[in-house]
Parts: sequence; structure tokens; C-alpha cells
Amino acid sequence: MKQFFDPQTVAVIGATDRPGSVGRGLMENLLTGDREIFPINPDQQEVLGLATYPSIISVPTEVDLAIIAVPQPWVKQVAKDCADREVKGVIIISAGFGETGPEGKKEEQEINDILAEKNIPLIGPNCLGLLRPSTDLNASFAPGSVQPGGIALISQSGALIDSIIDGSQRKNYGFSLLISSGNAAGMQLTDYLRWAEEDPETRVITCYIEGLRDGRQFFEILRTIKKPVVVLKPGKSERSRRTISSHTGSLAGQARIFSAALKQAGAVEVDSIQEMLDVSKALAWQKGFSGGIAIITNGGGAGVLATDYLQQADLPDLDDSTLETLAPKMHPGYSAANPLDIVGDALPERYRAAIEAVLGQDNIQALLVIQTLQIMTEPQENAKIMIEAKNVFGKTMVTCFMGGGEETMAAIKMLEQNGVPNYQDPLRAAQALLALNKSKQ
Amino acid sequence: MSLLPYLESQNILHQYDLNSVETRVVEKEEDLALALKELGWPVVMKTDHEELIHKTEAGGVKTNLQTEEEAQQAWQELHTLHPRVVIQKQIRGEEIIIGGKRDEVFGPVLMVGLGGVLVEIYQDIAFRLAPVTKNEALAMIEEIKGKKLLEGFRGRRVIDKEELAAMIVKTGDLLVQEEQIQELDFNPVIAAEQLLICDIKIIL
Repeated sequence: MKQFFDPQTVAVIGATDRPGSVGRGLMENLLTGDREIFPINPDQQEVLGLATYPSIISVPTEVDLAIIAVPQPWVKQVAKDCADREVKGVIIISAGFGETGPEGKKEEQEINDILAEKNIPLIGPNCLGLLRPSTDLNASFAPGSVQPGGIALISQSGALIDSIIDGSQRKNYGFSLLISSGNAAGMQLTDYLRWAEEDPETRVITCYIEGLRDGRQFFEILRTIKKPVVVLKPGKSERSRRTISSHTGSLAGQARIFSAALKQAGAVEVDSIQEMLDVSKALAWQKGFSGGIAIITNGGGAGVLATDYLQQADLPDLDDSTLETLAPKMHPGYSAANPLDIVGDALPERYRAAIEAVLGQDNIQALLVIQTLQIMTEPQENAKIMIEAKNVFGKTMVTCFMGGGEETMAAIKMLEQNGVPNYQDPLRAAQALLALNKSKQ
Repeated sequence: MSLLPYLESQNILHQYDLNSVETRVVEKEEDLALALKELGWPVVMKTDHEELIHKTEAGGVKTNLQTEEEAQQAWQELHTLHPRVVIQKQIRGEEIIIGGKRDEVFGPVLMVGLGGVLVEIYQDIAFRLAPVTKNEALAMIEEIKGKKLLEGFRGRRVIDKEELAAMIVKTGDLLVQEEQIQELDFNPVIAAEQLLICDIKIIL
């Protein structure tokens, strides 16, 4: 994996400085890291100030990673050169293979065979590339990079990775790995799952999967993975093919079977890109739990909404001893129940009293703290209390600081930089908690 | 695509210790009276036609036959569809479906749900990849939204979930090992003194 995660030398075959080209995008991204880059281009003397080589054969040192972005008809010859040079890993960005039909499929298989003979692993073809933020490796033509973190994203759509990179620019979560699997002529989704499982930086594995070649193998590997896995699968609306006529045949559409397999293997299935990122963030920062959830809120409405969203979870009643501890420190109008409404005028000390009393109850393993910004609310002081309580009690904590004004955003940043995932809508917070509730770990 | 004849289907079930309702397959009219006498009333009669996948729609199923006269008339109609006629004791109770298919991506897949004719409307079913453990089978039963119907709702018979789970596990094993089977439906499975598979549809 090192040749893909932290290569010392990278050759870019098809490097160019032509504006708007993939070859230039790759070069610009690779140059953000501190490693030796060899642009390969027989028609240009230099690319972005670096001297080029006419082919990979003429590169003077060993090449850890070769990235191929030449037009399709040349790819096979270039792959042969890479095999001759015994590079340690290859990414083929170029398109025009299996996605175009049987001939392209055959071509990409032949290319993989050429590389496999020398034990050279292949990512792609027809992919965006790979990013390993912790080593400043951006071996892709994505529109930028992301900060390091615990989420490994494996996607069959390169464009989805582009958008997630773009959308994660001012977020507090980060990625251990982003891999665009493309046509997967060589390395498969199952290989990437194993990589991510072994990767010490990865806390959660997130996959966008359009189709599977061998669902059974995927299922068997997914079952053995100990890290939480989040899956987004489109194609739910696809009508099941009614070619066969038993009840089971007509009821058992692909989407239902896929969902069943995910559940059986202990993976978390999500329905949208937002939920995928929300849930991944939670699983990257917080440990999964089994047991009850308590809700603390300074607004009745938000508390009731969260209760609705969490109806399939266990929301235990507060014990008498918990209520005894609470009563003297609460507003007379407090709810004395779960959800615990500590009333709109709650100052940080009331939040602290509520959080400590509730987390002290044994059958409560996770806490959702909601804050609606009211005129006396002190978001940053509240955030500090929550971070402290999370560390003291070691239980799962998710927050829902609603709104998004300056004070609220500063508090959210503080929470998230300390590993407390925040969501500005109780629905999203509930989804994250439900995923933590059923996830592995 | 063809249906496995009833007796062959039943033989496979026996190999996996799966209980099915008492059945006679009659080909000659002179054997009818003895079969009816042995089974007792009421009975269900069905054609054993290998190509009639939708037997009900093709007039191939006659239910709730109470007298020899009714049985005789059903025999005449069914016997013209196909020489072999399946005759079973009619049982009442909550109807469950256990099914399976060999999926091209995931291989053997199991399904359980509330059965009968409404299964395709309510789609109250749970899936797992086979084989399954007893605990996975129990989890499938818990996923059925209408599971209260199996728990003695308004005086109905309480269905032994352990027994149903055991049947699901065996069906999964059957599906995994009998690789020639593309799809199967046990619909309905009815709880009498014990759980009985009352109709078998095995598609090769």
C-alpha cells in the first residue's frame, strides 16, 4: 500500500501544462506534496517548470507510482513500459475502456494482466485517482484537496469525490483516504475495504457503490471488517426484473437484497450524500454504543422532534435518583423526563447539572444535547461543558446546536475540533446517533 | 423454467427435515376415493402441471372441498389440465411465506413474510443471504411489521417463533446445497399443531 499512500517518486505519463487538461490538473495536485515528480511527455521539454522525460523507461530512478493519463489507444503500450520498469503501483486515469463495451472491457483486462504478471497493482482505469491527505498525496485531478482525518471514502463515482472535496473545504472532518475505483480492472472494492481495514488512520470506511461484480465475496469480506462501514447505494427506484414468477422472485429486487446483505454484515446504509457524510463524521469521532439515549434540550420543540426521529431507539426514563439530583438545580418548569427540557433560559451551569446527572445514569450510554440560541444562551461556554463531560464520562455524545450565527458557529467549531459531531437539524443528529447505535466497534 | 413435480419437491423437503401437510398425488380416478378417505375433509386439490406457474389464475386450484361430489367435480376439471392432481388436507391458520432465490449478484437469498395472496401487496417481508443462523432467522421474524399476527393478536393462534426460525434455517440450508434450484416458495406455511408447508413451488 505504501506505493499508493506515500510514494517517494511519482511519474505522470501524459503530464502537460495545457490549461484545462487532466494532465495539468494531476501535476498541480501532485506538486502540492513534497515528493519527486517525473512528468513524462515526449512532445514537451518541461511541464510547470519540471524537465520532462520522453518515456517512463528514461526516468533515472525507481518509480513507486505511475499515473497514466494518455489517450486510450496508447495506454496499453505505456502499461507495458511500466511493467518493464517494474514500477510499484499504477493508476490509470484514462477513460474509454470497459465503460464503452466488450472491446474496452477486454482491453482493460489485458492491461491488468500485463501489470499483474509483475505483481503491479492497478487502480482504474476511468477514474479520478487517489488522495492520501496525511502524506499530502493528491494523485488525482480533483479540484483541490481535503484535510486529513479518519474517513476513508471509496467511490465508484469520481465526480462524487470531486463534490465531496469541494463541499468539505470549511468542514471540521477530514479523510484518511479517497479512492476513485473507476472500472476496477485490477484492484476491486473488496481490496480497498481490506486496505482501509488495515490502515491505522482510517476510523470509518465509507463507500458509494453503484454495482457489484461479486456480491457474495463483498458480503463475506464486509462481514469480517471490524471498522464501521457506511454505504450509499443508488438505484432504489430501479424496478426489479420480473423475469421469474415465484413470489420471492418478484419481491426480491436487487435493492432489497443489497440492503439485507448490508444489514446482515453489520454495515450502515444511508440514503443521501448528506447522511453519508453526517454518519461518517460521527463514526470517525465517536465510539458506537448499545443502550439508551437521553436528550437534553433548552427548547421543547426541538426536543420533541428529536424524540420522534429517535423513536426506534431506546429512550429510557430518568431514574428517581437522577431526578432528585436534578430538581434543585433546574427551573421549576423543567420537564423532569427524557427528553429533558431544561427550559429556554438555561445558562451554562444548568446545562452542566443536567448533563452530569443524566450521564451518571447507568442505562444511558449516549447523549444528544440540543441548543436553540436564545437571548441569554452562551454557546461557547456550553460547548466547553459538553466537551468536558464527554471526556469525563466516556459516553457517546452528539450535539445539535441549531442555527448558524457567528456565536453558534464558533461553538460548533470548538465541539467538532474536540470530536463532538454537531448537526444543525435534530433529524441529522438523530440519524448519526442511530448509526452509532447499530454500528460495529 | 419449470416447476418440480410435487412428490419430488416433497422428497427434497424431507431430506431437510421440513414438515409439509399430508398430501396424496393421484393420477387415476380409481385411486381418488381412497386418497380422500385417508385425508379427511375438507381438502384442497391442485394441478401438478409443471408449466403452470400461476396455478390459481389458470383455474388449477380448488379449495375448501367439503363433499365427495365437490371433490369429484374438481377432479374432472383438474384432470383435464394435467393427469397428476395434488390433494391435501385443508388447514386454517395464519399464512406465512418462506421463500428463496439464487440471486445473480449475491447467490442464495432467503425471504420470510406474511404470506397468502396478499404478500405482493403488503410486501411485509424480510431478507437475508443464506445460510442463516437461528438468531438471524429470529431477527428476520422480528422485522416483519405484522408480526403481531403471529403473536396471538385477538385470539389468534400463537406461532412458535423458535419453530418458525428453525424452518427458515433449514430452508436456507436447502437452498444453499440444492444448487439446481433457482427459486422456491413455501406459500403458505400454516401453523396447525405444528408448522406445515402447505404449498411448495420449486423452480429449476
